[in-house]
Amino acid sequence: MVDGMAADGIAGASRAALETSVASLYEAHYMSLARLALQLVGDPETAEDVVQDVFTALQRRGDPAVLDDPRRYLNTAVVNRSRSALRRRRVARAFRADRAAAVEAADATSLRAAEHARVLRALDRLPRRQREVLVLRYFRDLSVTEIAAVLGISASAVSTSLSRGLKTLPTHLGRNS
Amino acid sequence: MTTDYTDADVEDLLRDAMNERADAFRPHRHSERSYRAIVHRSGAKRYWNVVSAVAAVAAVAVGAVALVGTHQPDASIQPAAPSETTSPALTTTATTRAPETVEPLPGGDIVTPLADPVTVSGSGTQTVHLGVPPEGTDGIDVHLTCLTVGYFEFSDGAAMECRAADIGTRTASGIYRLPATAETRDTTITAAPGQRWRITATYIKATVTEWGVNDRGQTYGVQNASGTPDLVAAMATNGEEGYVFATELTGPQPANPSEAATFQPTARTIPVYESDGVTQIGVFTVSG
Repeated sequence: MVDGMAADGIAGASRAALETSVASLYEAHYMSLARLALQLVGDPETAEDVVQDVFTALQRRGDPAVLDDPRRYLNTAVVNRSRSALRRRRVARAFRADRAAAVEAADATSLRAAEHARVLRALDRLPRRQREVLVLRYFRDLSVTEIAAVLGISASAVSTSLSRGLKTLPTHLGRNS
Repeated sequence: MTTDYTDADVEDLLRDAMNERADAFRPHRHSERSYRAIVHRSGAKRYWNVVSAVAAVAAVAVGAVALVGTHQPDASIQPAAPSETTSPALTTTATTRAPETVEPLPGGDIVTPLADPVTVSGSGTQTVHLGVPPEGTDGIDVHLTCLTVGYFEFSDGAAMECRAADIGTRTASGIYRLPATAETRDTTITAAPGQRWRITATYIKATVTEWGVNDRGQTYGVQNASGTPDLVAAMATNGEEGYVFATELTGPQPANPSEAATFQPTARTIPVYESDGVTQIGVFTVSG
């Protein structure tokens, strides 16, 4: 940390702090955010694009010190940009789904792996909000309140989506066989 | 059968499946290159971003960055040993990149590097010779990395303290700007004997841009040496970028010492506006 700065050094010091904080946020959160994005968008390349876009915006802003809750902001930003990425890349995503199915067929060497693949595909088929809530709850381990803050919806709406998602997802899983 | 799954089953499956997918995920862009890519993509090609990239590489690279640039360090200062790691990407960035500028937020700095950066490692108190500053130099951007635990002081009294947990992590690095004039030739790092450090110093010229002024005569932008604009740049909780009123950021303050004794600041939500100060685009939570 930098301290002992003279008053006339405030501008430089605060700037330096801001610069460092963006880099620090990147270092601290990139991996976990990329994995969060992966759950939302379904493929590594897009996930990394999403997170890099988030940090691009943050870098452009260059003022992360005014983020009152960086972790929540980053979660929200990744969710929002994941939505945009899915909208933009619907066609590409459909292609990936085909490819994923093929990969699964080749790699599903165990029932468990096959089941996981089905779960992930089922997750992708859920309505957007249900998918986001399930990912934030069961992958990010956020509480209902925290999810509400990230998505900008009420806690009751989160609970409803959570419940519906858990009920709906099995309908997309198909039979166990 | 779909009816075979209880909520608990689904929860377990989801956790397992998502964790498995995450565990198999190896982001290939999580490196100093990716950070530089972000800098490029953002268009924020100011020098400080290059320095941030230096910070990024410092956190992941083993060893130090070797002497970079054309300036020669003082003989008493030992540059990083040849055996230490030098990142080709970083060297390229630091030595061949043309000075670039971009429109900052109103009130922000436009920083232009005027010379190649000088990177040296030292121990204890030492003076680092930077050479003759190019015409127009008004500052030195110094990126300091603690190589050991210690208290490292810049020439103007600002300091950086590193504890054991910081060493080898991002928190062991800091960036600071020192004033410079045409007579500047060096800068001194003060530390106790045996406390080791590394700096990358660059002569720069910084130009502070003007705050914007909206139709209502309110200034907007970022805080700088001139003070605080009426509307301060902020990010809303929904990710939108806008401005909050500085007066609302401050919030209620105790009017006297007795009030101060019992004053309990609480978290508040304030509006985030476009630069017009009227069009609300989100909210910002001020911590209590």
